[in-house]
Amino acid sequence: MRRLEFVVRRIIGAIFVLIGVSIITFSLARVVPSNAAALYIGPRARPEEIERVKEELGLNEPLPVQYGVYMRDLLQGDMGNSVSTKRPVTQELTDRLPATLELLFVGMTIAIVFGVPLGILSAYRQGRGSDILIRIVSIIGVSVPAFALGLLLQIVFFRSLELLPLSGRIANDMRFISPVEVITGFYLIDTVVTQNWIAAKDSLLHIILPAVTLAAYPMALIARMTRSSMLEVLSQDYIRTARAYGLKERFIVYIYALKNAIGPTLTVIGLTFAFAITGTFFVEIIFNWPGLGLFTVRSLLNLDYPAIMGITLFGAFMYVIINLIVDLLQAWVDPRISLQ
Amino acid sequence: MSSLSTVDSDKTVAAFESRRGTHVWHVLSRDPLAIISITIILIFLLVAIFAPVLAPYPEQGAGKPSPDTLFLPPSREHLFGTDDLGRDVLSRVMYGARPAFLIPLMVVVSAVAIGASLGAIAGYKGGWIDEVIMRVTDLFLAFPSLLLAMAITAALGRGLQNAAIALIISWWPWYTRLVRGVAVSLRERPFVEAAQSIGVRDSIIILRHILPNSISPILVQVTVDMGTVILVAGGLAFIGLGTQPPNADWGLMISSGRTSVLNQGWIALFPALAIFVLILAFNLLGDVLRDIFDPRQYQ
Repeated sequence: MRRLEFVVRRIIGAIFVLIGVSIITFSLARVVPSNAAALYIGPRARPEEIERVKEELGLNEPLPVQYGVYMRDLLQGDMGNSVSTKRPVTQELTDRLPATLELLFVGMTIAIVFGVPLGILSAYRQGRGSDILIRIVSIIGVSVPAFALGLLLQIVFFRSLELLPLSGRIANDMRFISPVEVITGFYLIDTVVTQNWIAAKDSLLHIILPAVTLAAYPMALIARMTRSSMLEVLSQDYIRTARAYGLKERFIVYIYALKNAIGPTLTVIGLTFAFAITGTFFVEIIFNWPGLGLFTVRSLLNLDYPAIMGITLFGAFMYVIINLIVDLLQAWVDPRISLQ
Repeated sequence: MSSLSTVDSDKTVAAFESRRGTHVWHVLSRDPLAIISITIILIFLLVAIFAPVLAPYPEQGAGKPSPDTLFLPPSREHLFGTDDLGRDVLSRVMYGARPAFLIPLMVVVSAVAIGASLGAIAGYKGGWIDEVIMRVTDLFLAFPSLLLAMAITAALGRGLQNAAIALIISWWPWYTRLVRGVAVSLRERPFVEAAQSIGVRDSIIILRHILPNSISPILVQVTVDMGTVILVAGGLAFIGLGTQPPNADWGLMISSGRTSVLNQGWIALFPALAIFVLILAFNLLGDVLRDIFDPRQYQ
């Protein structure tokens, strides 16, 4: 019962946060700029156009009414038209979302699959060679900017070793050789489902460098957090008791200790997911990955205001949802949390 | 429940107080990692301050093109080579150290000033004031900071100053949380109650007792944050929202060197190395400080 109450309370909390987020983006979109209507149509706006948009957005009305208009449009999925492409911002975002999500999921999977075991190993061998090595790698991981790491990987794996493609999501000539039939928009899934193995291999090769670049920071953070929470748990009495009973070491570490140490790691995974959302922006620029990030940067440079505000709102929305999921997961793993 | 947590936080605050001051220097001066990282930070800081004197080609460092020396590889005349406008990359990297320190310092100092005062008020006053301040804080924390900073720079216009303002807006909530935690744990300590009972004004109690006791956790957080802000500010410059050309900035240099990275790698790699080493130094120092006193216990 208590757990259900916790879930409901967290969801209601998240809804309030989203309303607050919409107020902040509303202020940024309509209140902060001195001439929001001009920004809304872009740098080459004619005066009569500005007047028309002012009327449309209700910019002559009092602020609460403006917010009402803003929210009404938003709830109908209307975030205005992109200045540079003239298409609805919502459309632009949903078109590019799969590419970014694919990169985000592959990157975070790499980060979790390597980060958690490295953290456990590091804690288990505290003070020994492998621990020191893992700690050095993880502090380098949180210190190297994605845009620097990406360039370095391109030089090594494309120019020097000639192992992996330089950039893009799939080879340009693939649409003639073996075109991808888009179903979900995730190339890795679409190509496998349609048994298009040539394109599957090509898109897999293309995603390696960007995903690794994206994974470096979260992986390092996850490893650090797992290490410190594992260290704390491993020094507890019940672990000593388990050892005294002669339980298998592997069983103690991976089942007994990890279950209690995973909570803080989950929090960090949630946090780094958020970092990774903006991290994809840099990775996409460097690897010319046709997702939200590349679109964001182009919008920023073109002063495409509706697009920028759409992305901000969308990013914050994703962030709140991810945090909510992490909170609920945490309560599921560690029942003490929902009792607080 | 509440009495238990008061005892706990009492202990931690006491531990903080006894460890402050000379003890920190004593521990730091014996830790090789701390010495290395402090040395690196000081060298970068000196380079930033004295860039006009130290740079081999100060004019080029400040942005003046040199059409006769385009894309020269590293040599004795140009240790780091020259860039697409013929400028000496070493001089550019030295000048780039200036925004690398300036922006994070502006951001962190302002974020601490805003965040610490709000946090102290929230934690000390409690009640609805606390509730309002913390709900607003949570709201700002609901944005990925780079995303919020990007949206704000877009609304205010590009440039170094606006990038700094944007980062301040997305950074202060972390300090509010931190200082609020300290303030809550101090509120019921005898010396605070004593001050209240003789009628000392709240503002004086916050200034004399709450804030001074928050200095250690803030310092640790600042060290860790310096690295992160350098990273994010570099990112803003990289996408063209921070420092504007012809001024030197590592993020900007990496961005413009990116197009020629496969053939003239030195243009992007040296500023990349610089930003990496400086962030690494701050992170190492932050780690050492965090081991001495852990600010997360207040969050």
